[in-house]
Amino acid sequence: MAQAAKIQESIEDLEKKQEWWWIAEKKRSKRLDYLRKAVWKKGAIGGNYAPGVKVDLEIPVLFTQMYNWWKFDPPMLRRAKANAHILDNMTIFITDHAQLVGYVGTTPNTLLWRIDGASMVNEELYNEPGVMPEPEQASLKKVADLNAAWAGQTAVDKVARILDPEDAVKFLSGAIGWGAPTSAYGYSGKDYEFLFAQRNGFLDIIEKIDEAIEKAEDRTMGAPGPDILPLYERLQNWDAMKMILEASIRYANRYARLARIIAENYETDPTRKEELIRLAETCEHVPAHAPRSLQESLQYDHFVQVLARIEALEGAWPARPDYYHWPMYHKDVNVEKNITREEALDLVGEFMIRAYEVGGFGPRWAREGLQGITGTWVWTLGGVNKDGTDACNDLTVAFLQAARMVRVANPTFAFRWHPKVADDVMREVFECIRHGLGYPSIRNDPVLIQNAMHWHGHPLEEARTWVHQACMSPCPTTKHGVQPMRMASATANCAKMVEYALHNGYDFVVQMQMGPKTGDAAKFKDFEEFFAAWVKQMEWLTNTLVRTVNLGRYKDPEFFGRPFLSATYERAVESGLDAVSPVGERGNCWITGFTWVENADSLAAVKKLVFDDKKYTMAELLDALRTNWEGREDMRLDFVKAPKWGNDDDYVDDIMLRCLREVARHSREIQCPCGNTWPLLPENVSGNIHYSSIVGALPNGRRLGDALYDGGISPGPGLDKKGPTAVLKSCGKIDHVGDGRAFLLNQRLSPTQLAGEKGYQLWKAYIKTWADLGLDHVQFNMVSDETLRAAQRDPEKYQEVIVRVAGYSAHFVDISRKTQDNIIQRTIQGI
Amino acid sequence: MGRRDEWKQVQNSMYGEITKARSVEEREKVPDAACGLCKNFAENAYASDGRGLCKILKVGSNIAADPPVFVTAGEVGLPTMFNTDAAACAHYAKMDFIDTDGTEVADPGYRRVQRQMEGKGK
Amino acid sequence: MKCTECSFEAPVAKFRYLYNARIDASIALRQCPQCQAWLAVDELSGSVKQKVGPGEAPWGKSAGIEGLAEDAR
Ligand code: SF4
Repeated sequence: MAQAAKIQESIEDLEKKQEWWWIAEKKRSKRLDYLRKAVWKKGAIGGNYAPGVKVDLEIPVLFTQMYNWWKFDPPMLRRAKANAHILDNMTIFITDHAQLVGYVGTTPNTLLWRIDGASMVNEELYNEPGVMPEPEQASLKKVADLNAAWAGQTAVDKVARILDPEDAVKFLSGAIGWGAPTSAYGYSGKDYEFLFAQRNGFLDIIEKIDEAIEKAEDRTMGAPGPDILPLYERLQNWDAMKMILEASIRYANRYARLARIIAENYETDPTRKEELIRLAETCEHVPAHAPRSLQESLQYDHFVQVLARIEALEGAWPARPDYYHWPMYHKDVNVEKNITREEALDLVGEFMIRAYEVGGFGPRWAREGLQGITGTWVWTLGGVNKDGTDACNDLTVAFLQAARMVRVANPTFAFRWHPKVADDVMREVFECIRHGLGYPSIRNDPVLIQNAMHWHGHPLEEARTWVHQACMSPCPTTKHGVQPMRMASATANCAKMVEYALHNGYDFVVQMQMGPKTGDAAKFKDFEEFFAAWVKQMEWLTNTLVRTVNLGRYKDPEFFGRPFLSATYERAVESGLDAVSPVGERGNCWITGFTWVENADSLAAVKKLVFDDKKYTMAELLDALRTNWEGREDMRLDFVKAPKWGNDDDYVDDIMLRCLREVARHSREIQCPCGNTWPLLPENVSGNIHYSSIVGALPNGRRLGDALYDGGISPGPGLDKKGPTAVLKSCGKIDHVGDGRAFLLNQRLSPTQLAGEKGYQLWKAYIKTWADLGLDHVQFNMVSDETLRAAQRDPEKYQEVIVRVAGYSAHFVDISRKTQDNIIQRTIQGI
Repeated sequence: MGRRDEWKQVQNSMYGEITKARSVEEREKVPDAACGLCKNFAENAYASDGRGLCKILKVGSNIAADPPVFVTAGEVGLPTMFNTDAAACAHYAKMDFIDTDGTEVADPGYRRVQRQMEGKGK
Repeated sequence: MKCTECSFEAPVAKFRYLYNARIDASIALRQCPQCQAWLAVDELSGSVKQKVGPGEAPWGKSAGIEGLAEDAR
């Protein structure tokens, strides 16, 4: 009793100091505490991997051996054989105390290296400091040999060879966008409706494949005609899907065998022995069959995610765990009472830790743009059912509570808010934010469902299944709605639009004529001429990126191929086509707009100071920009003081709306391979820092080197002078359905102001205003300047402080100093 | 030469080199005068494998030829690698210091984060 | 401008520009090419305000030199 009272007392003390990480340590179970501390951090610190994290060389060697052996097979079959060889032979491990298994590497500290993605990434890996396994010399030799074998043969090499050479050079310059036009580094939605709602285990899917093969063979053995010709190829695809599903079942059985070996030969603790036997039984049952319990449900999901990632280095983790695991949670905890709620919390917490563990070797642009994490694992919670009723349940709450105990930076949550969400659920959401996690982000469900129907024509029931495809964009989890290859390479460095409009399409950073020659800006007679140049540059930039991605997707089944993903997609199992094929998908693309808001602020500053007030000539401005404002500090400050977005000032807000509406118009002119639209989605992750020395000086007053703004529609840090209501009002002028796909808004709130019940009520009122204005997104940082300053001074002591960067969270100590400073720069809004 | 052919030439010089297998020795060597140590080298932010563009010489130049070819007019900079031997380049200008801090972010003008560049900060 | 650490003297532009203190203030962070010290520089007067050490940040709100950068008026 005295002990419990002491713990309670110390928790209260820690709450006062807002040291939530120590509270988490005290509140979580011993198992969760061990598992949380035993996990290796795979996200990069700034751009470097943490000491001790090494690249896995076993998997690329296994893959290359078998891939080369079957060189005359068609792409999907060849890949299925090579991946099956990995699953049958890779080293596997079970972490002490774990109840869930499966990892993308052969030891817990390794990063998956997908060697068939891009030669450039392979070369980068060779030159990367710190990641070679010991002995380093032998590893270097192995990597050099592997790179030689794959040089020019990877998916990106193949796309680059057939791209228009001008597009290839400009895209690969690194100035206008990032991502890679291949599913080797894409994101893929999971067909949760097929796997979980319809309760299909892999053996059930194999049965469906056998039926499809039988039907096709009836035709290929029948009367000849052109209609049967595509079936020969599809039959091989079905073989590939079947082969990889069978290998996946064997892979799970290897874990079962390992668990039994440990239980029977090495484990002395009877409780752990029992757990290991249960783990073995779990892996014998899933993924072969549909799950029967919460543990099996979570394990099934984790296997699917890991297997998809062994096949391709997926950069996101679209999921809706409270919705799809609810039936088994309800059965186990509420109906049959097989486990207690605490035991369920342990499983949920571990489920998050197993995801946090996942990491692959990504190129530096991805590491710098997603500092501290390995991908945007943004899991969706809340929302509505297909019939529009509230989908929140006790598992929603369990995930929110488990998150506060394990405090991982990845996965994070995004919460689908709607007017029917119960107050107790909202309180749990707020507690996570108050504990400084930076998540969940809040999404406006009614607005986004309407948006999904508006842009991509998803029927209402389908739109209601939506999950975060990455950090922001909604995508359904249904047969025709699920997206197999999120084309990250349509991620635009939008600040280049205004930069190129100023410099006649020339890029002074990469020293290349990039955009079209829209004229010498010094000769523009009025703002309209300047704006017209901006429109042309915008169209050119989006066209270039979308052309690249469209081609990458169109050729992906040939240049890469996804047998496992296909085997888990209802439409692919039915058709025999690669899941990435646009056939059968409605299409759900978007252009991620990094560094977007600078356009409106820069255009407004030029309009005001050059064309309206005529305080400076365009020639003077161009000269100042080309010399990075050196020696022109007075002038720079004038441009800073020009009207800025986020202050409810129509002068600049109207320009923002004009820009968005030009892009929205163009979004309908450019089409994805499914024939659907490409709306804009302004957001940044930490791309605003990655691009800081790549975007030249701009008329909003920034210099080359300065961080770009952090949000998608957030005002520039420190430039929102009129308070939080003005920010919401500016953002509320945007039509969050028709003007784009989604709009990221970062807000910093004061933890002192939002303490206690009063704080919750204030926040709730803020959310009401936000919802009434029709905004689709908002996310909060609620960590004080004092804590962040202290963490800068003494990082060792503040290893567990988490912050919201933009679209994702990270441990503060894992982001570069420029990024840290950029977060501290953001205005703390009193609400 | 048509537009496509012109860009093809640029593409080849930019991305052709990488498809050539190189030995560990070739990969590890950073000559005393190397492009990565030169003020005129701008590292590519898309592929941080050490490729970059020269800010002075343009496509068509060849600093490995005997005699070297220096082209200073054109719309695209000469693609080169961090450890390309610059002994014969007339425009080589050693940097005062280079930034090898990989925990920060891309800075084409100053930063070189390749393992082989560690210790070459001064 | 003269580096307060090693006395290296050169025009401001010769000091590597890192990033701004805040966009609306005249304090920027630059690096001395000789001793590589990070310096908080007043861009209006072209003078070094102070050296910025590890764990500090170059502007008002961050660790080490609170209050150095004021909002632009
Ligand atoms: S050494 Fe010559 S080719 Fe290389 S970066 Fe310097 S100037 Fe350019």
